[in-house]
Amino acid sequence: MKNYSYERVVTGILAVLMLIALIIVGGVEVQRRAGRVPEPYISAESLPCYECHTERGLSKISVIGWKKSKHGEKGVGCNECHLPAKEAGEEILTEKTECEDKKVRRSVSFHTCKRCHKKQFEEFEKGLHSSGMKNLELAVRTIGIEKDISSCSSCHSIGSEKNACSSCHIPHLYSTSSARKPETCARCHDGKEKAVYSYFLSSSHGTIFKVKGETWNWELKIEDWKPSLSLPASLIPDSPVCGTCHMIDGSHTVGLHKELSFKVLRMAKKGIYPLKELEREMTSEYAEEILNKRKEELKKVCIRCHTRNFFELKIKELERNIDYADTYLLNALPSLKGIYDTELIPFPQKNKNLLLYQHSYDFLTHFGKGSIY
Amino acid sequence: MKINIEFLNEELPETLKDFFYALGGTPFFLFFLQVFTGIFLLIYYIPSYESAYESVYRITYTIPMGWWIRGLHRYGATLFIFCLFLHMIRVFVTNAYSSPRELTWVAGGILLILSLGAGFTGYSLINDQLSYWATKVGTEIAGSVPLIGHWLSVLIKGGERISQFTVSRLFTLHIFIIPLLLAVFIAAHLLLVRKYGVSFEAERKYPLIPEHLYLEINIFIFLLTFITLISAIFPPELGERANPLRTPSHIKPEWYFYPLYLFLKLVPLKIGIMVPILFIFIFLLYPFIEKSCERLAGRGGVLLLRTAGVLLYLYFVLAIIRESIY
Repeated sequence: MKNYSYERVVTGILAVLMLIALIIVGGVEVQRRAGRVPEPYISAESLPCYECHTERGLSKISVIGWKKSKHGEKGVGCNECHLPAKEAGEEILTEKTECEDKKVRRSVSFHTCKRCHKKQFEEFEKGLHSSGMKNLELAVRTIGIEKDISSCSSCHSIGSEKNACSSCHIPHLYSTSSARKPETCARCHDGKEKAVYSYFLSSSHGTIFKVKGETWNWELKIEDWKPSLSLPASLIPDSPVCGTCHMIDGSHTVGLHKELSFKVLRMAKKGIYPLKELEREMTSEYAEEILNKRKEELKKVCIRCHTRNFFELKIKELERNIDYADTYLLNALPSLKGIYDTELIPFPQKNKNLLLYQHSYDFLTHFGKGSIY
Repeated sequence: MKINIEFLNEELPETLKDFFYALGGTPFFLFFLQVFTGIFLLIYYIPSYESAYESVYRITYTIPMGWWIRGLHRYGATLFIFCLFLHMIRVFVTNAYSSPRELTWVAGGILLILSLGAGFTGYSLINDQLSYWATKVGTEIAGSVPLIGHWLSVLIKGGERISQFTVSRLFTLHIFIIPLLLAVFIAAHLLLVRKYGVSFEAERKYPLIPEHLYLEINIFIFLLTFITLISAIFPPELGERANPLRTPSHIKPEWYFYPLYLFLKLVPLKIGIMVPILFIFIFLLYPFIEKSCERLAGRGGVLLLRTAGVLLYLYFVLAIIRESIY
């Protein structure tokens, strides 16, 4: 009897080819899944909102954004956020609504976000961002700004209950990947007042970001920005951005520098105090201790990519430059004070000392002659 | 207990091992692939004018492996029709339709027309721009048929314009009526093949089991691999959502309608409709017509008919190439 070995071999070869084809199908599926738009889950409670807004074309962009969001995918719908939390502030609770359902509020309190994002909220509360509004109010009180401050709140409102989360996370889309991009920070940290973003762009790190940032996979958490076998090298970000140093391990404290700014600490280290109260609280040794602690924090981030020697070299250069700048500033202060005294510059006259020391750079650019305000 | 089924002990002519003579088996397998993948697509497809596009979008871009199943169905359909054409050409050039196998040819011809119908109704269900406008053109062509045109157009569309009723009707045709008719005519075709035999008899025979079974399994794996690879390299895409207010600059049907499409562009509409209808009748009844022609005009008449057939085939090929390029 014929043993059909030829047929068996052909069948075997074809089966192997089929297996290869199926592996290719698997590969294509994985690739497509990476770029797949998640399917929103619309709960029964949110369905009436969704239907009404879709039929009438109300807040179209919000609905589209939500459909693409993680919230949409996980079934966190309209009512979960737009029915205010019981801890929500008076401003939100008494807000007028155009919705047929009078319980609905347009603004969302950070207490609502806290219900699911407790860790991020607690970190945020500890950070300087949460003081945005308080600082603005303090500035108004201590310096006596007479100008309309509503334009100031476009940035300072990051510290408000309504805008805390949405200042960095685009409302409805609430995308972490877009919040990671330096452009998000540039919304407030750039321009004449504080050209931090522009400084970053002109640095080596910023240049890499400019040249390669478009191809990076921003979905990756910053702590995962390291070589990986599962992603092509072109997709992995290979330069730090704002969050790399200011949001270590994704911390929403954003720097932990709520208590005192870097500038004040530098001055205190030299024994110069803009406010008498600070002199009692902050000795120059203590200021140095905090500065060293922060340097160690920074070192941990830098040595992820650079050697320790390189870090030490660069940090010394940086300290030297800052020292120069501080020396020149200190030398310039008496002259600057004289200019203020002449009132040639339309500048608030209250608490000038604090102004000169703590906010010399910032306030000059914020309110000095030539400012966009 | 040994089950002895006579059919399984049969021996087949050696010529069946030649792919040229076994082209009928390929679409037979592909028919089952279409049914199988069609059932999977049915799980997610929503036959609604409003939601059809979204559901196909979901199948293509969201459902895991949805693109693969849709690719198998889409490319399977194309290959199905391509193999039917090849099979028909082989039957034509080898004179396999001659007596007593005329009815086998007729059943095969009906299968080809039904398959084209399945293709048309299939891509009409997607409801993207191509699909919508192809349906519109298709139903307008049907509407231009003399005497019954308007009635036929309304019957397909379920009204004067393309609406939910059109989608429902095309859906019913695509998933129920046409597959059922295909199954009936496949059965009839096979029974006729068994009754009247094949045109190529060979002295050497080989067993159905296991040798022919091996061959069939190999063809099955090969086709599945081939369509899978095509689907993975060119995953099926979806055009823009249907917009009745914006006519696309190019409305093109699937490649197998190119000869008809080009013909309609070249001649006045009435001729463009009457000639293909006449052609379908001639095509289906060709074995009988050829026999009558032989009786009336001898071998010369038959030669003339076959030359016309070859020229028509050349027109088909050139039309497909031309429309694919331009």
